[in-house]
Amino acid sequence: MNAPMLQVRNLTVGLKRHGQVLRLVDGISFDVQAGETLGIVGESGSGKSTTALALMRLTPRSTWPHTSGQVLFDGHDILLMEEDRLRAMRGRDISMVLQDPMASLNPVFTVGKQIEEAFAVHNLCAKAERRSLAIEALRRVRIATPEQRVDDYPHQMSGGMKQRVVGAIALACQPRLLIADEPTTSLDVTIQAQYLDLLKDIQRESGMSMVFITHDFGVVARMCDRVCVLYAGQIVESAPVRTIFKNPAHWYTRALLDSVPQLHTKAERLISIAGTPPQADSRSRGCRFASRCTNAQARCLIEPPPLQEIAANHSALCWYPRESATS
Amino acid sequence: MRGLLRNSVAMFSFTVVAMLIAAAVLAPWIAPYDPVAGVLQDRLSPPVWQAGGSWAHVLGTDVLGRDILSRLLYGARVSLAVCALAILVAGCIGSALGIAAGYLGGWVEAVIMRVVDLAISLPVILIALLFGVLFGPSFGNIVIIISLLLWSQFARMARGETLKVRAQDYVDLARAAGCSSLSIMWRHVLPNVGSSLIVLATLQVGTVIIMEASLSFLGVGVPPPWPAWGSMIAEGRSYVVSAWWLCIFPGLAVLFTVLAMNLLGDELTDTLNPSLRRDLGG
Repeated sequence: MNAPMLQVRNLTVGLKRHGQVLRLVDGISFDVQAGETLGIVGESGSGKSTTALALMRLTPRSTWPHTSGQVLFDGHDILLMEEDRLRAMRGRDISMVLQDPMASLNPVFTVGKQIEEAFAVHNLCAKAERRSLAIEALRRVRIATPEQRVDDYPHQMSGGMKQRVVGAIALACQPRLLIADEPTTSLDVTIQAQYLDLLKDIQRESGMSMVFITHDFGVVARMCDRVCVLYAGQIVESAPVRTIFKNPAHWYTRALLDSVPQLHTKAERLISIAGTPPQADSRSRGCRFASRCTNAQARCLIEPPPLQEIAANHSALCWYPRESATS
Repeated sequence: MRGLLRNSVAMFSFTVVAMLIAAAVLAPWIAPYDPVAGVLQDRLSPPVWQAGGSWAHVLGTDVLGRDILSRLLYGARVSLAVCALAILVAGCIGSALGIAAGYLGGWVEAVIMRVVDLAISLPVILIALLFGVLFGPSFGNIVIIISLLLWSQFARMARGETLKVRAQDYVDLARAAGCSSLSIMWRHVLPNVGSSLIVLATLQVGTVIIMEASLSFLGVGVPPPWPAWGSMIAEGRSYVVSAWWLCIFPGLAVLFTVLAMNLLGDELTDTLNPSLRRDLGG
């Protein structure tokens, strides 16, 4: 196997508040292979979006002094790269799609102009060609009658259409890695499915990699090859997508999966995980999930758990991972 | 434009402003007399509808026998030129600094905003008088004085609006697309804060006209004998009981201009919001 396209090593992003450094992301490591889709799953506040921003060094300036580790893209560390070189890579090699399509488009420009900007920034083509390329980009994300839509303002489009335009902008320069931060959360279910299919098709054509950030296991099952489960800033489990669903080793993953509503089991109330995730300023020394874990032992509360290899490509941050027999 | 003309308030303000601009531009052709040359025999002639008035001087004459109407028309030139220049200078400087402060944050913001606080806390008239006394009254100086006093308003507004825009995802995505800070400020922030700044500019027109009139009234404005509305009021002050027309007409000119500009500013607030623009079709 070739060297992974993206290697994240021990990435930590902190923020200083009231004289104390809070670790929003706390020493996470993962790889993304070319053409692969990696899912990052977690509750809100687990550090998902901060991770997404850190991959392109878009985190707020105030976190920079407390950021460490490596984000290697093709072996070059994004966290240490000169601003000019990084700018040339953004949008060209790595691109991003965010959650809220309403806020992702500039309201005062037509969508065409905003796609054209992507070409303009990287000087990819002559000025005269930009418009036809913008129309082509809209067609690629399956906007009907792109020749007319190219002159629309964002407020003239529906939410699903806007999100596809955001996709068109992100994919305009045919990046090799797309970071999607909950891109379907604000879309309704049918539009969601269409959007995910669209991304998959484009991935199949272009062979790009994706880092898919979500809290929705349905999206994970549909999109991802491998999954990292994030809890309180740490990756607690990482495994191929089938393993995560069939045989999760970490108790948190199990609990998350149990809380996904099922059609065939009739439940009076939805199952939830008791308690709330620890705040970044009040984490215990031991396992961060211990206080909510149904299987916590005395040791879990005091000593930080080790990263245990369950199988090839499958690891869990736990003292007493679930026995595979239970699956 | 069509949206602007839709209602009568807008119609009124638009007409007044258009007439004013026309008066200022066309003054040399439509003014019946030379605004600085007086005929002493005709001095203090009342307006035409009052006993003793004549059609020769529709709005009467001043102490030196100069035609009030002609002076008002030329005065519009001065007022509007001062307005346009001062607001342009103050608007550009203030907006640039405000956007930079809001977008870049950190020490840039701290420095700029402390200077803004300082500029806002300065006593306007005192500084203007001081400046006028030091450098003498002239057209250029009055523009500089007013710009100095005005830019801070633009900086404050621009910073506040920039903070709002900066929190939007499309700014993050522009960075993710590889745009530099400068091009984000220019291409994404400015167009989005621009409408607020234009509205502020029109609302400032009233302030500037009053400021210019006050400074001319105090004698540090446009030097005599050139007419400015403020200095006309100042000159007529001592005759206000016996010859009311000396003060009232320039006063009314200031009143209507300020009113019309403020109303126009309010209308622009609605018109410049792209999601309220209907005539683009969808």
